[in-house]
Amino acid sequence: MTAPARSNRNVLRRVVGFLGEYPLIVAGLLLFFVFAAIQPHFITGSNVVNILIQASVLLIAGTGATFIVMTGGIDLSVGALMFLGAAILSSTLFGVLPPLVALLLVPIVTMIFGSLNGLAVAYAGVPAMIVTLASLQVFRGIGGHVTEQRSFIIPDGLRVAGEGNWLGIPAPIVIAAIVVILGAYVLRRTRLGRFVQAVGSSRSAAANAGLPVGWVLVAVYAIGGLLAGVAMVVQLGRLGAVQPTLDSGFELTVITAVVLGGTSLDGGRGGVIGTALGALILTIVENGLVLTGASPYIFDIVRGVVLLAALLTSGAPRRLLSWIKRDREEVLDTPLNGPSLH
Amino acid sequence: MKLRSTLGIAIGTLAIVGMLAGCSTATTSKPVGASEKDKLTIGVSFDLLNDIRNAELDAIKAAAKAKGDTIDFVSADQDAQKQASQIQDLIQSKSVDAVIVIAVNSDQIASSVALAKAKSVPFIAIDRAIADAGNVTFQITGDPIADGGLAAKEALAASGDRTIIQLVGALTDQNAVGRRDGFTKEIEAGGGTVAAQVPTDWDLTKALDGTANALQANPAINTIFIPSDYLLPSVESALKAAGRLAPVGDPKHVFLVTIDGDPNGCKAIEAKLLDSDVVTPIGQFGVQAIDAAHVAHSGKKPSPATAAVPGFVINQANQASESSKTWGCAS
Amino acid sequence: MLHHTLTFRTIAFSLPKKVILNDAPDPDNAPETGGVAVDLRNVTKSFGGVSAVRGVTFAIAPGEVVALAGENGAGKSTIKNLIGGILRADSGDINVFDAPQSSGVAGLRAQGVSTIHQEISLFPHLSVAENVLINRLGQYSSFNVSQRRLIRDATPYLERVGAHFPPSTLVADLSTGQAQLVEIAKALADDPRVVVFDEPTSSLNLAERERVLTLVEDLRDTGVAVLYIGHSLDEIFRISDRVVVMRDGAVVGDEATFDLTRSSLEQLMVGRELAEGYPALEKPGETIALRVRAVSDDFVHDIELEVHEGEIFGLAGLMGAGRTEAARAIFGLSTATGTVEVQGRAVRRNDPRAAIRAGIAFVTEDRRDEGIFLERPIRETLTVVSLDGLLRVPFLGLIDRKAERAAAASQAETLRVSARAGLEAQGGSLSGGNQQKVVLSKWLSTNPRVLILDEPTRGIDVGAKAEIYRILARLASESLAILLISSEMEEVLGMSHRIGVMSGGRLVGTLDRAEADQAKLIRLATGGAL
Repeated sequence: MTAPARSNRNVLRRVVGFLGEYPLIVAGLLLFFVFAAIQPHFITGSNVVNILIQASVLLIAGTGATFIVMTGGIDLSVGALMFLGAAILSSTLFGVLPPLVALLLVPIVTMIFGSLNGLAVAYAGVPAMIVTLASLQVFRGIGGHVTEQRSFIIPDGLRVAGEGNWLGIPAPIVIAAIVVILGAYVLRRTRLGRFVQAVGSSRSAAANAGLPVGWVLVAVYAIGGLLAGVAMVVQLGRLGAVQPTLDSGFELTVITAVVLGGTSLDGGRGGVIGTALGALILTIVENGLVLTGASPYIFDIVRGVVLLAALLTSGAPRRLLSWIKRDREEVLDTPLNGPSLH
Repeated sequence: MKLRSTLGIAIGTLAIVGMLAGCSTATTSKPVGASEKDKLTIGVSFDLLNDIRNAELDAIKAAAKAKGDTIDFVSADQDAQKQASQIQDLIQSKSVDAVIVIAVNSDQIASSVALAKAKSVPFIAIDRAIADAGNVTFQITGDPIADGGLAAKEALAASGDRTIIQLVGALTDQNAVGRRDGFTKEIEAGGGTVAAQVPTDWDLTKALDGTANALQANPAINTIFIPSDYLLPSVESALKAAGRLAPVGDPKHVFLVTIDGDPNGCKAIEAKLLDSDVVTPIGQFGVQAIDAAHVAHSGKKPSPATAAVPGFVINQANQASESSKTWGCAS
Repeated sequence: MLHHTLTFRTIAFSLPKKVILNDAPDPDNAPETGGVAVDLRNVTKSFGGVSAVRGVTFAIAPGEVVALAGENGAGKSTIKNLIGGILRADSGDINVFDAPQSSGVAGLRAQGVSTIHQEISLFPHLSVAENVLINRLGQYSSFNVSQRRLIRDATPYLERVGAHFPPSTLVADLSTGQAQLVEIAKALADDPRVVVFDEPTSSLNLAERERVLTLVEDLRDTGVAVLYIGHSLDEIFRISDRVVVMRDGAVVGDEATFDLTRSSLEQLMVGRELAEGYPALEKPGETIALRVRAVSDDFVHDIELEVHEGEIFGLAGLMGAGRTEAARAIFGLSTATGTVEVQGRAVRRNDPRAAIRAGIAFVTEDRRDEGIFLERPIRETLTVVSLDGLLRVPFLGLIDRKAERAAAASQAETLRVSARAGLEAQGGSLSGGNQQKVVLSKWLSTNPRVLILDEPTRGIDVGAKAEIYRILARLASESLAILLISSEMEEVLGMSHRIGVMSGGRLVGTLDRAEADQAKLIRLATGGAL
């Protein structure tokens, strides 16, 4: 191979490598252009703000779920936990508290409930799917009991996280951005994040290396619970009302965003940024469908097709990458005289 | 020793018998208005619980109390299969004298209707019409098409050019479909058009995001049809976020019309945020359902077997006179 | 390394080569069908760059029993899987009755090749009869497979292997030995012309073993070609006509059985240059680094041993003798009783984290699932146990990326890990040898005083093996105490100061390097006395 050919190939490898890590960027851009071509309003600044606001709840809850899925777990109770948070916030018990205190307490309460999931998964040895399926019922039941299955209007004082504007940016966007950035940072750059990846990659390897596996599992479900509470505070702020069926089925949307973002359900591989892209794509689809005036009857079809297409195209850069890398085999296995690390 | 213990048993037995006797004396001696036979145990099965259902349940309970009936209530959490099992339990295990049902799904309820018929238990459907209406003892519902039409007339009566968006409930709910069709038909008959439909699946978040998106796509929107009061907070939030929330009379005001007449709607009318609300007669559902149960239990057929009761309008103009009839304003 | 290879080659070439096709020892008895049943010519197979089988050539005639001998990892299983159609050769030809080998297991079955695997491949929730006839179920009515007919049809095969349990029994309810017999009966039900046995007797009791050996002789007498893979030299001498010996993926001997003696066969299998292939070990120190007292759990009993600083203590024994279990108990991965001391200080029991803090490191047998994070960059595996020392703000657990990368790079360099994508290469993309070096580096970053290694060279090619040996010798010279578990006798002999032998969950004897030889180890391992 000649020298320029190799350097061209390296540039290609780097670009494709980046897209290989975040393949959804391609799918997202494609989708964006399609909608923009159909409906010019789609690309206005205010609609982009709209999309970000609408994605905020999913971004926050999805960040928490990413931690859980990264350990090879799953949380089916996230929607129920959010409803529970809303129920608690609307209860008379909380009515006497100053709004800010009440808002800060909700995530703490949901974090405690979330860590109960973690305790069961880590120490009772029950599969996460079963634990959270059971807690889904319990959480929704408690929430229903607290609200007596009635709807509630949320007083304006409790709606800052949904309606506020901080430095000219809508509060949901600010909160979601902070959560996503912080989540990505914790997962990539901290000891806890490293342990999460290690436990998800191989639980027995992590145990053999003396990592506190049980503690890590409790921690991720606690994070999931905390962020479910934060997501709820934002959602309630936006909605201004609680209804008994609030967020039922939301767990599937959350898991869809996580998986679409490239996090493996087996754990170990993936990340928060991928989930964020997944959440944005799901929101863009919903937003685009309404904006382009599509018939409600075809919404589900389009949703499904877009999901499938996103997943299919997301595999393409990886395949391209492995095609570029296919010459590596011979080089890898030269144990003695191979290139050593610098 | 032996004698004493035998004596003890004898005294104990006597005491128990005496207590039982006392009880029965107490009940029989109690004066009765209606005959014992006419006090029914009625099983009530709802599709779900929310404010409207709670109001409907309260109406049924009030009517039952007046007749001295007992209510055995279950809720199916929107699960048709669960509802079928619950009705089976009511009829077969608890042997209720009649069932009052709000079906999760108008078709899937058929097996429960057949079971009630086979066991000769009166089956009374309220609120949501049942596909197999012929086998139902009595059915009383709102008239979703008429209600939708009433809402459309309110929208058309407002002055100026109307750019209308229409929120749509779950497409599997024929009340939602009926309200949508009634509204669309009347708007078109009046020479107007619906600019966009926003599917909500009866979900607050979808209603909020959908309305926000529609306002984004079509800034000229000045009228919104909301098929149930409980989506009203979502629409208000979307208007607020778009800077379009203003009271009635303000030039920025978006004309809002809803259906149900629940407490949210009543408050919004009073607060001059909502223009019109089509009030469903859910109080009547309770009274007529209980009456039908008694008629059927005495061996007669309720007549007519089905009733579809259209709602009435409460709006900014008539709220003083109509609020007393509106169930949402009562609580 | 270079020296090692040369010696090895010299030996390989100096072996007397015999004519491949030999007559059966008893020509009157063996029906002479003529021709060749299975013919391998220059067959080569490698996995991800590690060659498992190199240029293998041999043949099996109808009515002949060929034994395939060699140590673990010599390439016997690969040959079995190539003949059985589970693997495809990278190059070379395999012919079955003068026709090219069909592809796939089903095609080979039609050609008359049956393979009896060591790992049972039965359906546990089907009956014995159904399992025996599983490949022929298609011949029965598709609507109703009559149990009675299945049992009637399966019975002759079961009788032939000496299975004395009802054909209606579920396989899940059988013992391992019984299941092995069903596995053989299933192969017979295909009316094979070539049968490959892979250690068929390892899980059988004496009577069953005898039955199977007689069966092999039966098959031979009816003109079936048999390839018999086994560790037991007794069995090989009893039933085989010819022995093909493999070492490190190549055939190093192909001789008529009656030309061989026990010791000449052993020599072929092990290779006599091995003593020179291992690095010299320095004299261990005086201080006792690891002291294990009366450690017992469900698998091991009363393990007592001491390892000095700078000493390599080999732990030998047969499969299932409890070596791995002993290591896990010492490291605290099981609930064990007894005491473990590191440099005179007791280690809290049954807590691997305490063991790590006390200075014990454990390189497990299953390096892919338990040692390295296959899907993560090797940087993360390298630093995962020593992460606490690489934090910027320890309270928040923020990782100092520069320090981490530097630490990972220096660790990788010390053991000369090679990976094309550098520190960001995924664990799974490395060769076995490099994976093992990553796992070793990971543990060395904790500055351990005691290093436990369980089968550190399994599945690693010869070059990397020699390098691991050199690393171990160097670590010992730096006064690290090493507990080395290995199934390869000569590895234990060549790499240990002292050797403990385990059998039935107990440490049955300890030998000094000077007094130890294979015969003594085997005698102890099989429950004999010295």
